[in-house]
Amino acid sequence: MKIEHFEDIEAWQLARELTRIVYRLTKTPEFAKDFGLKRQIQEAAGSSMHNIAEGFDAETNAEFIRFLRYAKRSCTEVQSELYVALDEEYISTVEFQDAYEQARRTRAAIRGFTNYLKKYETSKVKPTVEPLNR
Amino acid sequence: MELMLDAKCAPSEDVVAREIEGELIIVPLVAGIGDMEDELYTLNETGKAIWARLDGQRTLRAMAAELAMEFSAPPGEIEKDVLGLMTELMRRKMVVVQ
Repeated sequence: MKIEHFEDIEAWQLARELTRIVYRLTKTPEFAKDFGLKRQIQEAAGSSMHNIAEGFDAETNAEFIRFLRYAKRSCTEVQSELYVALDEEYISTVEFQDAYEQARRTRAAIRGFTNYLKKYETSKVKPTVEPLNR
Repeated sequence: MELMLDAKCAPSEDVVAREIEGELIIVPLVAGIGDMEDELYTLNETGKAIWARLDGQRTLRAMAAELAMEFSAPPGEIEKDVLGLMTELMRRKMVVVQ
């Protein structure tokens, strides 16, 4: 897996799509009128995206993983807020399922990427120079 | 002398490196290299990847960026590793700053 830019991270691509879906859903007149929920869910979706991007510039894997944890939580927050939107009938069941599934996929990709970084961290061998046969 | 990421390093002319059965061996050609007389040194796999890039042309920062891509790791992490090894190799007079 070669990652040169944060845009190359699959989890970020999925989070971007999640954000796009959330913004589309919140444009309907019913949803748009609920300023509190609209702002919350938009911010949570955006946060999933931005934390991955921000974490990419982290100095260490440990710091990067912390940002990914925030991003993962934001996905869960989006899922919870989608329930409110469904219960208030701002969105249909199909729209709910579509957005919920996107949040789940994003969360799974973030978890996978986090595990990858953890694995790298533990398997990484610090470069050393040692006397031979000592 | 504190080593900076903008430094360009190359193997010292006082050592030769030979790969034998997958292991990179550094052979001192003169006295005063390393800690003991007539001692050979070896680099681990990560060290080999760094040694292979010691051409006196790239900066340590550029080298770390290449390795970060190769290992898909944050450049800051690799930069610390590169600086650590290079400082050690300089202390043992196995590399020189160009």
